[in-house]
Order: sequence, then C-alpha cells, then structure tokens
Amino acid sequence: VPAGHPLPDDARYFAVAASGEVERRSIFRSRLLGRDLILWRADSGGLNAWEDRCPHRGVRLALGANMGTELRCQYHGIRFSSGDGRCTAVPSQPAQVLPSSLRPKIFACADHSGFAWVTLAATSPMPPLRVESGLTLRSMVFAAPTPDVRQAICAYRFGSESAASPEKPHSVKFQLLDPYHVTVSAHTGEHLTSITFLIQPVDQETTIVHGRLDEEVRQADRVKILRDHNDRMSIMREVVERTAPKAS
Amino acid sequence: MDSELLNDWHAIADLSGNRSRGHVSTRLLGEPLFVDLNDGRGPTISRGPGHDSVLAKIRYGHLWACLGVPREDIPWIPELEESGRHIISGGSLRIRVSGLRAIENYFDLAHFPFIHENYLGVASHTEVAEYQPMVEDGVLVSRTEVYQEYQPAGAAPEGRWVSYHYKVFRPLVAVLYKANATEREKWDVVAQFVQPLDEETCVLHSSLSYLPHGLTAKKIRWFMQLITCQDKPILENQVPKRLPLSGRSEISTRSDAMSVAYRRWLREKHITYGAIYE
Repeated sequence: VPAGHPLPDDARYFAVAASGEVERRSIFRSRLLGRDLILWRADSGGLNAWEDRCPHRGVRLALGANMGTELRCQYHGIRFSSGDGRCTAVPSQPAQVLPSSLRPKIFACADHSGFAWVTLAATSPMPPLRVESGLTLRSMVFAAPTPDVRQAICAYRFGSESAASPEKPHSVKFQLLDPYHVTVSAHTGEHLTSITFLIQPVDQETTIVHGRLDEEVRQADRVKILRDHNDRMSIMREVVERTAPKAS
Repeated sequence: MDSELLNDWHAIADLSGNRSRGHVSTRLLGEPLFVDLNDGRGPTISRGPGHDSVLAKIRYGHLWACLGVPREDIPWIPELEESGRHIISGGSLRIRVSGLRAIENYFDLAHFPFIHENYLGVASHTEVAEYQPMVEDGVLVSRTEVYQEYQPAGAAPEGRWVSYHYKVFRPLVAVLYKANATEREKWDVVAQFVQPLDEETCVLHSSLSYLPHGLTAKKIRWFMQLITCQDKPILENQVPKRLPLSGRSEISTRSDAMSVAYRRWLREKHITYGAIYE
C-alpha cells in the first residue's frame, strides 16, 4: 500500500476477541466485514481463523469439534489440520488418497497484545496495532453501523473528574489512530488514564467494540472498574442503537 | 421459472388420519396456495379466493399440486399401497434450506455414523462401500449396503450389512428401499416428498411402508421423526442454502458418487429453482 493511501479494509488486521476468549478445545464464532469466521486454538496454542464453512458440503464448521490438532466437521467427520487447513481424514473412504483441494478458506491471524487479530487478506502489509497492557474491558455488540459507533466512542466519557463535573469535557480527549482504533484519555484521580477501543466491523448493521484500559488496576478495584465501563458503554449503546439508521 | 419443477407434482399437505375438513394455507415454488378440504368431497387448491384452481390429486396419503401442466404422473411406488404393511406418514417438517439439499442429504450415507450414530450408523464403521449410481429409465438409482447395529423392533443390537437402495424419481421425490430386518429379501420403503416453499425453504413430507414384524406404527413414526430432527440442524447450517450445481465451491470425494450424479442429473434437467450456478 503506497504511503498516504488508506489501507483497504480487507488488508487490515481487526481484533475479534480477547486472546483468552479463544480457548483450547472449543470453537469461537465471529463475523468480520460480513464474513462468518471461526477461530480455534490448537493444543500447541496456535491460533486458526477459517471461513465458517466446510469445503465439502458447506456445513458451518462452528458445529464441529476442536480435536486439539485438527478440526472435525460435524456432518461427515472430515478433519482439517491446524495451520494450513489440509485435510487429514475422510472417514467415509479411509483407503483413498486425501484430496489436497479439500481445505477450508484460511485467513491470516495472530495473537497480539492480548487480542486475537484476523485479516481477510492472505497476508497483511500492516501488523496488528500494539495495545498497552492493562485491563481488558468486556467486549460489547452494537446493533448499529460502524461509523455511528465510532462517532459515539470518540465522545466516550469516563474518569473521576468527568463523572463529578460533566461540564468539564476538556479533561477528556480522544485520538483516532485509524478508522478502527480510538484512544480516549481522562483524568482518574491524579493520573491520566487511556482506553484504546478496537472496533470490529461485523457487517453493515453490527459492530463489536473491544477495549483496554492502559493501567494495571488493583485486584480489589477490578470488578468495580469493569462494571463502571460496562455501564457507560451500555448507555452509549442504547443511544447509538436508538439513533442509528435502521437497515431496511 | 424452472419449467421442470413448475410442471411437476409436489406433495403439499399430509392428509393421513382421514383429514377431510377445514382449510390449509401453504406455499409452493414461492406462490401462496389455499386448500379447501370441502368436508370430504375432495380438496380444491387455488392461489387464493377468486383465483383459478390449481391441479390437485390425492396419492400416498398426501395432497399433491401441480402449478403448470404435468409432464408425468406422480411416481408409482406400489409398496405405499400394498396391504399387510404399516403404511404411515412420517410427519411434515419445515426446514430452512433448498429442497434439493434435503434430497441430497436423504441419500447421503457417509453422514450416518456422525449425525445418526447408533441409529443408522456406528462410529466403528464409517467407510462407505463402493457403489455406482445409474440413471435407469430417467430415475437416478444407487444400490449399496450400510453397516447398522440398531434393531427397530427393540431386540439387542446386532451388527450387520443392510441393503440400501435409493431411487430418485423426481428432483424432489426420493425413495429408500431398505432390506427388512426379518425378511431380508423384502423391502421396507421410505418415500420422501419435498415441498419447495421457496428457493431456500422446504417441507419434508414422508410416507413409509414397513413390514409389520414386531413393529408398531407409532414406533416407526417416532424413528422417522428422530432421524429427520437429527438432520434438520445440519441442513439449516449449510451455506449457501441453495445447492451449487457448478463450480468448485464444494469439493466431492469418491464416496459422494451419488451426490455428484444427482447434481449432474439436475443440471441435465436445467433445474435452477433452489440451485446455484457459479
């Protein structure tokens, strides 16, 4: 991508989950830019992001089973290897050569800064964003298009000052790093705290927002802080969903 | 419009249990249909009040309709009218998938050990025996055997190879001939009549003819409905909902010979309704 040109969405990495949500021996369903995906983690820790569709008869792979090193489709028990997705077993014909063309569509993915990232490209020219460590917020699904959600996030308010005197918005500022990443900073007590929001464009009507607070919090405060942001994001969601144009 | 399906007969309602009163509202090939059972004087079908009537026929305990000009009669399945057998309806189940996908699943043997484990297949026998599908007098036929342990009459499970023959008479009418557990040279027959509500939704109707050995009609119906309900979530999670008839979006294996033959047979009939050509 030449400098100065916007990166096409297909070539970007998007955070689709906190890494810990993609657990071993399970399958995590997601959706990005209108494409249904599954994420699954091999026992080795390796992350896979595949189209949610078996290449044999089109059944959603999310119905299948994560066997540790392979994913098994529910319909015919056909198995595909972690990593390159090559077919490792066709139970209906154990004596035959395995068909090399039988493999799911695979997307590049990575664990990075505690999030699972996916790009719809085979490779991406840009690595995933580095996100400061800290407290990962609960991800939230918005029934609203991404531009409306982005706008709302830029106006997100938090911190002791803004809570105590909402008429002093100068204490809160946002920075749009790119169309899908927003940092919002506020004074919490005597510190300046930032949240990085990672926006997942699910499809035309749906957006998921992931977030990370950039400071370690005391264990005793953890639940209180998570709940505070969850409440604020819920209010934001209500407003966005009420005002966003509805899909016809 | 798909002239093959437009001019074909389709089952649209189960009339078993001597149902002869009231009205039925349904759809066929995207068109609304209104059935008046006329208090037993013979049902009439129309596209709605004030519309011309649609061709109607009662056969195998079901009401059939044809929206166009029928080229052939409803397939002749003598076992469904034979005396001395349990002849019962398996019920009607609506499934959000193309009717063509439902038929393809019906004659697919490779999924038995995974979706119907311990009923139609067993986990230790996943291999599908070699078979050669053929078109005989316009009917797509496969003859093979399936390893099964389940005993429908409630006896202890016993592994054995059971003859399984399929005849696909019409794009949406397929019949299974399954060797009877007691009289191996005789057939239990399960006919599947798929009603295309629209291109991506269908209703599975079925009519079963079983030799009575130790079986009750209730038990047979329970078994049929169990199998269909096991298939439903798989069928509703096929993407796309229409059956791809060309292109490389679905890769076949050798044990898919019947599916490959069915898709070719549909292509030769220029079936487009509920299908995708890439």
